[in-house]
Amino acid sequence: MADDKGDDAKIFLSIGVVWIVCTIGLSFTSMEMFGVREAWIVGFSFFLLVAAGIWRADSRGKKDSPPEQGTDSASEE
Amino acid sequence: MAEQGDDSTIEHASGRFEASLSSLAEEDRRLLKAFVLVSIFTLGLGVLYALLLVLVKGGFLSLESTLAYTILTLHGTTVFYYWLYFVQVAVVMVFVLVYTDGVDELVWRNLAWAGFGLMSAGFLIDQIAPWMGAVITYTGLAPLSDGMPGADWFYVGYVLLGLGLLCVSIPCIATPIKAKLDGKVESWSSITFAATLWAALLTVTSFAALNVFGRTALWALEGGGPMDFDYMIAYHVMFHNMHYLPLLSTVLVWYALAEVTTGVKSIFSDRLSKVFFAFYLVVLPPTFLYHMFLDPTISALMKTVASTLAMFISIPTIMVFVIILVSLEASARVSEGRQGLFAWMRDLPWGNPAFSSIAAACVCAAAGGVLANILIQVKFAALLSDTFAIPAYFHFFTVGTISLTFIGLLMYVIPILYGRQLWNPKLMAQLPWALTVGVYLFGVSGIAAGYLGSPRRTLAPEYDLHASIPLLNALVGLGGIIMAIVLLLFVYGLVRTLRSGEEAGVGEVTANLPTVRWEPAEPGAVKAPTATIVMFVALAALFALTWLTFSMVGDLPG
Repeated sequence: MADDKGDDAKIFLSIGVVWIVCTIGLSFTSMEMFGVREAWIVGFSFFLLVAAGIWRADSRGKKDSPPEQGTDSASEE
Repeated sequence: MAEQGDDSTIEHASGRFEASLSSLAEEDRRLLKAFVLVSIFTLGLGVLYALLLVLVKGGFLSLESTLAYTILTLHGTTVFYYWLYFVQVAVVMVFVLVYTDGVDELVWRNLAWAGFGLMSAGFLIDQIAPWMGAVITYTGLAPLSDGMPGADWFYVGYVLLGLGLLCVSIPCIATPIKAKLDGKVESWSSITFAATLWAALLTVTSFAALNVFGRTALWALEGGGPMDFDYMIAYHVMFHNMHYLPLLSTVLVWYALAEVTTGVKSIFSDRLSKVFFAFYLVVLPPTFLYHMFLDPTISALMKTVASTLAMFISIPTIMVFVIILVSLEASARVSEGRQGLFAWMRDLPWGNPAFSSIAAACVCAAAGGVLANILIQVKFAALLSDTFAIPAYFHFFTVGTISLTFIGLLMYVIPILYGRQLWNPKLMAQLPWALTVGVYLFGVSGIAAGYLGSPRRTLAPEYDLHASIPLLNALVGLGGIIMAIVLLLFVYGLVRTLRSGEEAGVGEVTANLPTVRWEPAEPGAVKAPTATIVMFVALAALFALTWLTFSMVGDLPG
């Protein structure tokens, strides 16, 4: 489906943004929580990295060859 | 039912799954076999430890307290961190390789092999360390472990596990991205997307594991003493992900097996499924605090906020379940078959052991989900957290839902990888229901015992003060024995399959697993009243039990 283009990267990006909001929200509380902020920073950084990787792969893949639409069925041989 | 062995089975989702998995590169098949074999071994070993524990809990056997605690440590470590993670890696690799168009082989396979080696080394060390004296349960409580012989090795084992998981997660992300990079696929299937999502969360979780266990290993290797960080918070931020990852992979297996056994995939858009799968990671951070309800450093206000936010935890599972149920019902109604309100369900492939597994898993998940929503009420959690109600509750998920679901998928994966038909599918199709009986007996009796004050993390009967607890413990023991026997029968059946199952060619291996062939319905083409009723009843039960919980804890001090 044409309107699904870029969904994979966008959803990963959205997850990263939610984790950023949670990390910022945590800083507004007075709780001393060892390792939580660091874990979430690693989390959203990695999700943004994966989103960028998918976006890059989408962009380069489109240039190189005709694309296919993924399906939930096992790949047919 | 599908005709067995004719060409038409290749057109069925079951045949396509078999054809795709059996055509993988030999090197990938070898890697998958390694993960599958170790996962079966860890399951069998973990269940043997469990059998000892339930015999003691039920009063049928006596063990010296430290020895019982050692077995408890080994049981939790073996099944939670090793069985569940070896099998999940196998499951996710299968999904990435089978459901991603244009993928020929796993990218960076050697890194995955390194991960397998590290995880295996961690497993061996964590089997030895408790016998050296590190009897600290699978949570590895520090600084409680200070001075315990073998505690440093226990944490080193977990560090190797964390490193191993990091190594296996990267190829599972790189492989589908490379398919895009090569222009072989534009938009992933929802299964590939969810598998990649799982692997990405595993990467993040591995870093959290290395943070907490690396620091603690260094602390223990340097001789212990005062700690310069809060182990419990650092542990729980990692554990929160670790206990949520199996839930994500479980619903992913439901999603895939529903199609493999009936031919029906989601009738809704891929985008909708992807959003619901992604919701697992959206609700993950704000729900973390429910592990910290007993922490005195967290304010009552934050605990109340956390208790409210924790309500979100079950939403993605419910939504994916609804997608599957509505898709099955709508497709059954547009296909030729029984049309009554519940009659269409009789046409489901109940004789297929994989389908029985996911169906029974849903029955266990219903109880686990309802109880979870009660236990995340901050006041109730404070009352029950240190009682046997907690392990009784979480076995609805860990055994009845998650382990059973993975076993269901292994009933396809093992025969296909080894080219041998599943041993005794008729018996294997009945076992999930026997397991469910055991889980409910164990769970309900254990929750009642916990509510009456029976503590967790000890098997010593002198702490069970209420007169009804010995009887409840006997029922817990009976339920546990049923669970252990059924799980050992599963292990036997899977090992028997890979060693001496009937050899079959491609297209024939899964022919002894009955399927139905339904045409996927168009959204809106037909109504799905059964799904509506099921959801209404589930939500009504949830609200009723939550109301009951509030009324029970309403008068307690804050």
